[in-house]
Amino acid sequence: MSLSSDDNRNKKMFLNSIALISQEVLEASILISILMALTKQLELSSRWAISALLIGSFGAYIYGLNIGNISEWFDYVGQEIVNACIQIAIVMLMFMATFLYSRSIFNTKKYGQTLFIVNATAIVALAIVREGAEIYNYLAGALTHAEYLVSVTTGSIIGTGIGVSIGILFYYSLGAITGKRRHIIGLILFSLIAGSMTLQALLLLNQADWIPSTPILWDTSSLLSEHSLTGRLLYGLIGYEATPSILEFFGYLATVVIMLFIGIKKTPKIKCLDKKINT
Amino acid sequence: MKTLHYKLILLTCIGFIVSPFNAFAGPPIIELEIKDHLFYPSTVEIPANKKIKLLIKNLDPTPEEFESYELNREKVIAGNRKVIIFIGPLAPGEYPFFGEFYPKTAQGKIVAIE
Repeated sequence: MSLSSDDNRNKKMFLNSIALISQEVLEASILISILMALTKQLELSSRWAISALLIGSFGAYIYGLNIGNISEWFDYVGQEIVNACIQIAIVMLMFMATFLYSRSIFNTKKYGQTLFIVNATAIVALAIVREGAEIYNYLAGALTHAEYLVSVTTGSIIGTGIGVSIGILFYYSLGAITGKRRHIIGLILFSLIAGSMTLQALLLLNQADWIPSTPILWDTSSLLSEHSLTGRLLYGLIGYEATPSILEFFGYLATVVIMLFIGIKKTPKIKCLDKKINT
Repeated sequence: MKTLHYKLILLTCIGFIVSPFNAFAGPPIIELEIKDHLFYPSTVEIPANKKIKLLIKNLDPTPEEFESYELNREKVIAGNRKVIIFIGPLAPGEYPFFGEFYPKTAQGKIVAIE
């Protein structure tokens, strides 16, 4: 094999590692940043994020390690079912977090705060389990090829950097907004992420043939391809789907509406609301 | 002789009851293999407007991820394992897929024909 061909393959693996890892890290990173901004606003410690990272990483390792066996469950669609359950659990926990956050329960009740922290930890840990298992499998395979060691490692570090940076950007951007506007923007972001999770769960259940296929509602692939960088980023962020089916669209919409309903019903009347989180 | 007669009638009845289930035993199965980070066959023709069961065997020791934006499908396949992915019913056309872990080498397409 010629040297230039080796170089070319290394370059491709390097770029692929950046794209794949950043996309996987992004979802958990955004969730962490929004939830950290909320806990900071509620004057609670953000130490939960470390627990979530540790629990999630351990879970991802166990899940990733056993993906072969899990895939064989339910007549070879176990992976879809487990992933869909994780996504649905995250959506339910996000509904609950929004409910807790939107009520003034935090002013007086200690258990309300504790529940919110446990909730946030579970959301992030579950998101990491799902995405982390994929990263584990990618690295477990790619790193067995000695020739890709450097390109995959550096690509993965850069990919993680991109994912984490976008999360940090979100955290400080949310912190820079004050008052009710922060609550509304945070809520909209939360709704879109939850909508994306529902859409992914429905896709997985359809892939497993547990729910029927419904006709495609529209096709925006010529306007914004899912292959493009923007398409991939938007997929990771808000679940951009170029060809959603009727069921996926209504699942997404229903989740967004329920989340907004839970969050808008009562705007938080918290004394620290106007404090900037980055001060 | 009489018992044989009854048995024959019984078997015929069972046959009639079971036959519709046999006729709709499930969607057709299409097999794909992954070897040296490549899909075999790389082009698969399937009937349009029909649900298909893709049986993918990963013959490599390393994991691969079957991914297709056009089919809205994504699934990790552990090394030396097999998985099932349901696709369709699809409108006639071409639906590219790739191995996300080695996308430049593992590529293929599903062609739905009427």
